[in-house]
Amino acid sequence: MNLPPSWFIEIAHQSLDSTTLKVECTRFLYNELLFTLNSLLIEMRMYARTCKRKQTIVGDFNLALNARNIEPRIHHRLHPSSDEELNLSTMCLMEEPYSQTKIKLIQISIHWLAINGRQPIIPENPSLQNSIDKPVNKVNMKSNPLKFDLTTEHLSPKASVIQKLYEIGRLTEHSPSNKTWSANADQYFIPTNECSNVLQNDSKSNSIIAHELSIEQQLYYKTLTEACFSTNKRVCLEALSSLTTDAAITPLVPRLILFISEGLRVNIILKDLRFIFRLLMMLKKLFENVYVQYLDQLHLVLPSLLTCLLCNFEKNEYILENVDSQHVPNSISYTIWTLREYASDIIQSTVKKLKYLSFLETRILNVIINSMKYREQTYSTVYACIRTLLFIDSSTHLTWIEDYLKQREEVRQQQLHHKVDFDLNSIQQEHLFQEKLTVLLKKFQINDSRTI
Amino acid sequence: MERLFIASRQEPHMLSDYPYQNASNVAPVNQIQAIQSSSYLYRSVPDNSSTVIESNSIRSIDSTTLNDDKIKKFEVSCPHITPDLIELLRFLRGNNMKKTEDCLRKEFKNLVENITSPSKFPLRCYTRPHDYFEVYQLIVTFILSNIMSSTSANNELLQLLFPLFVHFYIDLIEQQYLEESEQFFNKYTTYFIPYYIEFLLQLRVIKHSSHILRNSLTYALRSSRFLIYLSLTTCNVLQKFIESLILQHHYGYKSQFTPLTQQQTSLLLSIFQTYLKIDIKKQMWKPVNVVRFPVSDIKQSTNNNIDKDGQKQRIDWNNVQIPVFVQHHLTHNFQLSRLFTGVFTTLTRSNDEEISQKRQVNEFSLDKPKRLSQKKLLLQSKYQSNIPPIQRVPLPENKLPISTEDKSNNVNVPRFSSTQLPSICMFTVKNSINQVNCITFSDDCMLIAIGFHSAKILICSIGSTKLKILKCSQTLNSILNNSTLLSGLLYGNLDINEISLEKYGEKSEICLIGHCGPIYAVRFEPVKQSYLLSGSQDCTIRLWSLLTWTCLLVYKQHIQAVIDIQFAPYGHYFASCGADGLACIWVTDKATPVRVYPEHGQIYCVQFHPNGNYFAAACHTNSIRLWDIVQCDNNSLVRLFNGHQKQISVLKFSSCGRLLVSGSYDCSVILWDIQDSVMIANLSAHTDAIIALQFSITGNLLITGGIDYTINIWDFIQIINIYNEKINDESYSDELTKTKNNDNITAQSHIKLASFQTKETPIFDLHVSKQNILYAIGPILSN
Repeated sequence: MNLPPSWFIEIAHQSLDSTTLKVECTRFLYNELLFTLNSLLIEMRMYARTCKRKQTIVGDFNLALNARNIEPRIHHRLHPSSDEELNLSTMCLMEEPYSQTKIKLIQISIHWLAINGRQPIIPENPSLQNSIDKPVNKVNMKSNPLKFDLTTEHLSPKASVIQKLYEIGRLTEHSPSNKTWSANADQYFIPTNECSNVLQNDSKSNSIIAHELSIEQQLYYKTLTEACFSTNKRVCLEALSSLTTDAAITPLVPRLILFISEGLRVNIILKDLRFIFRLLMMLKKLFENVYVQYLDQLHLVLPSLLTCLLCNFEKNEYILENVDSQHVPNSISYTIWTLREYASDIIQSTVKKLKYLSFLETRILNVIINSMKYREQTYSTVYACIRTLLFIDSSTHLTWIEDYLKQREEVRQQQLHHKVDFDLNSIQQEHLFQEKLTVLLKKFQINDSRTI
Repeated sequence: MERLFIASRQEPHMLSDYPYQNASNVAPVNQIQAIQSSSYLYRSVPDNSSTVIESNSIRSIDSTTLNDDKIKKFEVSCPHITPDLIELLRFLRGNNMKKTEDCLRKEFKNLVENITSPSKFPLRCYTRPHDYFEVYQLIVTFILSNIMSSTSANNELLQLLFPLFVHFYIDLIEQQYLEESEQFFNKYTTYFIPYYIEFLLQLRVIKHSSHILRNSLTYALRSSRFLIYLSLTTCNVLQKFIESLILQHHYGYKSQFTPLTQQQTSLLLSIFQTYLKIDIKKQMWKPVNVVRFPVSDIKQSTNNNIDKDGQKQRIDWNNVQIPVFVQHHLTHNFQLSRLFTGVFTTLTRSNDEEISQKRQVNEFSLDKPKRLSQKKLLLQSKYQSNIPPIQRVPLPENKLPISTEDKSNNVNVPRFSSTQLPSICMFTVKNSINQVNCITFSDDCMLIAIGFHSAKILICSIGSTKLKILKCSQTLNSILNNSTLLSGLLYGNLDINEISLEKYGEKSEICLIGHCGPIYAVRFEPVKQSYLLSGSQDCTIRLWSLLTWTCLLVYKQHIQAVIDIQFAPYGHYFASCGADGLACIWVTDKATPVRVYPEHGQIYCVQFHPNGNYFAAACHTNSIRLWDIVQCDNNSLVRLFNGHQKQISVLKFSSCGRLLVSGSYDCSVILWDIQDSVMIANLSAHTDAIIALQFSITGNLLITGGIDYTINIWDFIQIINIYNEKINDESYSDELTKTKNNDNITAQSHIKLASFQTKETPIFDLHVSKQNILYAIGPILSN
């Protein structure tokens, strides 16, 4: 039977204020203390695990004490704090993990950890180097022969005081046989090949490639895109209807959307309204297709779409001549105004459809509002922006729009010149703007505060 | 009791009377039952009637010479022997063995005299510490030599090692042989590393006989019995071994093992009798059938795991059925009865599911042989018919399971499969190191609830919508008086929520304050999402309304921290568990629990079966218990699952209701078949505890998230396919299986579809939205 260590006997004598304590008594006390301490450590581990932490903190030990109705102060009285080795008690006062001094606001950020089973390389995700390093470290930790400690690999103690507690709980416990034990544990440790397997599998899963289109599909794609721009009205309509109704179009979707977004980008610079209009029509029809999942390509097409809504088709002599010579807007349906309305329709229907996508709506609204606030705008963009805002969420933006219109009116009266699009002159545009706005505002029952 | 038999052997004619010698070769069913009821190894299963007449029948053994006081004392001190004695007496009378009966009478009288006399109690006190070493060494050599000699399938006997070790060790401490106990521990623990590591840690804590009842594990062990199921052949081997022990010192019969003294034999038998229950049952579980990841060649390891020297012994416990232990009074009632594992399908949803099932079946039949798909069909029809009556667990009228319409609306939701992997939207909670204890998503993924260490609960809206509050009572009254609004409500033109709710001051997060200890669990009500439950260190559970943002009810029953809460799939009921070892079932509108299931140690997590009839709880003994909510008392425990090495951290039922998935701190995920109570798969790809489990909507992917900052995605259907194939292969010839084995191994290495690392963010919760986007959330552990 191993005797309790001398420090314990001393402490017991001092604190109990008796010199006649028998050996049996100290031994019993000692065993009892060890039992309580170890039980507390196991309970502490339970609390750490409940909080889903890898490490135990002083707070956990306090909770374990608390569950037994033990006040930390009682310990404090038992142990004089003079001896540095032994003041287990004061730890409860020393390390306060939830100190009030460094309050940082809790924030929640959001990012894509994976898109269709692939991890995008963005700063929020760990780099490949990191992910390789980690498991290697784990293995090193695991091969530690001292596996059979109260400190299992899950609960490496964080606070130094807790570490001390563990040491006392462990070393004084079974000192005679400790050596043989750790040697045995070393022998029977089973090396894990886990990590190498993990890595292998990672590389496998990453090698899944988006499959190529078959020849038939390529043909289909070609015919479809050409038909959409055909001058034959019937062919064009059929192509558009197949965009809405065909389920087999699914594998083509990424390419089609890329086609549309690129087409929009180029033609906005070229100011070819007819092409832009056709492309928007394709996009709208495609989005109406119930079999098509376009969520992953949305980020490709949204910038182009918003540009349609927000860009100023300014008068640029060179391009204007070019455009005029090729495609004179032969009918009213290809005016800038209808184009903006069309784009606005697509945006608001998309936003409504994808309402579950948190932040999509706020992001689009932010873009629109910011451009209204900080950019000089033509009549048609102002109209289009207000229209989109109202259609997406009329109630929240009502007052804001009223204010905006008032402000704009004031500014307009001061300035003589106003930015305009290229297709109509300024007076015509203003006239059209007022006309359309009154219709819009009537629809949403907004007080028309403008002085015309 | 054990002396009783030893003594009875002194009459030679007894041997021929003894029934199991004849029965061992033939063993039809009724004879096996007879063996069970008579043999000292087996604990008979008394029906309730026999326990009622117990006191009378004990007296019927010897009513003349002994007085009532002594018999009462005997009953109090040896409650575990009495049912056996009655059964034995019944058997002897039934078979007209009068001499043995007389012998029994004499023995019983001696026993009662011995026990009731103050100086001599209990029997095991006479054993010296040295006996424990010798007996255990003998058992070890017997079991190991048996494994070495037999070709296979005799891993079963290994089940005995740990129960005997534990009780020998506790016995030694109980009798104050502290130094010897330490030697015993150090000598034999090597067999149980690393499988039983957490048990060993706890055993190490007890240092004195007074500690035994104060430690939850040892207390549980002492008040429980291990259930050990052996096949008939293995059981015969064990019987012959024990018989030979007895014969040794009565007839000088020589065996290969070192002889034991009378005391030693009785020590062994008494442990057998008090803490073990052995039953003959065909083993459903075979280690080879388990789908493992990473794949290891099991057949090789089984043969090589024990060296002949007897020095370097390492046992691969993965290949051994780990025995469970249950409380004494439950051992008799515990049976594997048939369960309702089906899930309710209502009219609107059943079409959808049929379609999906047909699709699944088509998928199987494409690349698998036909017999498998047929079996799959059989399985499905078998489980489909296995749906409980809808009101078996009563629900109020308005809360009956009705399928939500939204699910059928989403035609363009992609079906996940091994080629179509999900997109994961990751939420990271920043600046919250050691402050966030639990996070949960609402079912529609519009809200998250975060439980803090500082006793606060934060509700955040993650969609674009702001949080709303019920209008004040005056405006609500005016709505009631407004006839046009009311008619609009009646005819469904208006949404009640639109009328009665208003914006809560542009807020997108609200803090709920009420608890006075760290929050350990938060859950949204699944149907309407207008309620929230929270459990805390302060021993209470609170129900919050998310319309008025106030606390509605405080549930008090637990006497220590509430660790987990879970709503039933259709709301109305919820389960809670705590550090005090209570698992409770509650009805939301009552302040007291409707069911309380007490255990000996902490219960770490609970989970409802998707049909709401059963609930599972993970206990401190690393086992999972499944209770039937409707049954009461001793019949309520319907299943026990044991196989994890460390504490279980999370439970989840598959959406089809057939399987239970459990994640643990031993870094592995285990899939259990509920009906057959067997392990199907053991997946260990994580490097730390798994704390979140989720299934995709169609149920073909299993997603696991861990403390190790990793999300793994598994092909769930493939796992079940491989398992089914393995079972099918058993009935076919060996050559077929050999060729198939390689296929299986390659298939097994592909069941993990993907793995994603986060930046030091453990995954606290996973949720799949109706649009099939996987949401994950966790607090980042660095700044």
